[in-house]
Amino acid sequence: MLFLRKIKTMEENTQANFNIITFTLSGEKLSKETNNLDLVSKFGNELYQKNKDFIKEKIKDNWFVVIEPVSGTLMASPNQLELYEYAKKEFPESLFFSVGLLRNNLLSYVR
Amino acid sequence: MSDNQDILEFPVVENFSPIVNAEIYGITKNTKFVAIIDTGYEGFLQIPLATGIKANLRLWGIRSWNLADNSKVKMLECIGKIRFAGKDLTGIISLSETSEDCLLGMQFLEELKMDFTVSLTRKKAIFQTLPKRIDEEAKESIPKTEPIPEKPSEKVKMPEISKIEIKP
Repeated sequence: MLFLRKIKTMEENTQANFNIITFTLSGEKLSKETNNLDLVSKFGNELYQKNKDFIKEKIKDNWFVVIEPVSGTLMASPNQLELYEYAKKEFPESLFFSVGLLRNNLLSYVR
Repeated sequence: MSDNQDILEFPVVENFSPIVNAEIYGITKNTKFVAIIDTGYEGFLQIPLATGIKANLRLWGIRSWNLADNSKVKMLECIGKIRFAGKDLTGIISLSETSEDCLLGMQFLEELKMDFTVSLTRKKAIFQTLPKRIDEEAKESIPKTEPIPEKPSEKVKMPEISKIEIKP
């Protein structure tokens, strides 16, 4: 079952606020941190594919998404560097499966 | 090319690709590279795996990319800093096992905060820092005044149809 685990607002400066949203995804997870990128990719991609509809419903267009495959945590942010810093702080030993930019509704931008 | 210039020009080569030179800051050493500006690429920088190893970047994950021909390719992702036009820019760098090209994408252009124009007639790729956007400047130059109250519009009196005489 999916649930909203944490919403955190990070302030970079007085002019810009960036949001980090995290979810715990359902599905099979890696048993421990590994440097084997094939395993990171396999488990990360499977978690993404299994929860794809939910992710696309909950995450805004043009947000960057990464998945930590041991805990099954999805992290999303409109700012890629903020996302990187947050993910490395939360999971310093992990390698991440990067989904990249979510783009659900490209047609809506064209008039 | 000197640092922090307002206008920078680079060549557009025969296959219409804008080419620029930049430098990657690795953990232990810096590596110079030549890249194509690719506005169809949403990422920051893509370099060949060998260049990434040479630059000694810090690995952060892996990504599966959908390419334009609908194929998928896995690439390692690293965090890295590059120097271009006198600016230091940090972003996620993808390492490609299959491509020999270095690509700078839209994420790079967003971080750079310069206007980018390609002139195919002059065969130039132009980066430009505009001092201020024209519309912003125009807004600031308008003195703030109270809005003028609208006058009730005077209705034009139209003759009644019944009173119009039609002469033969």
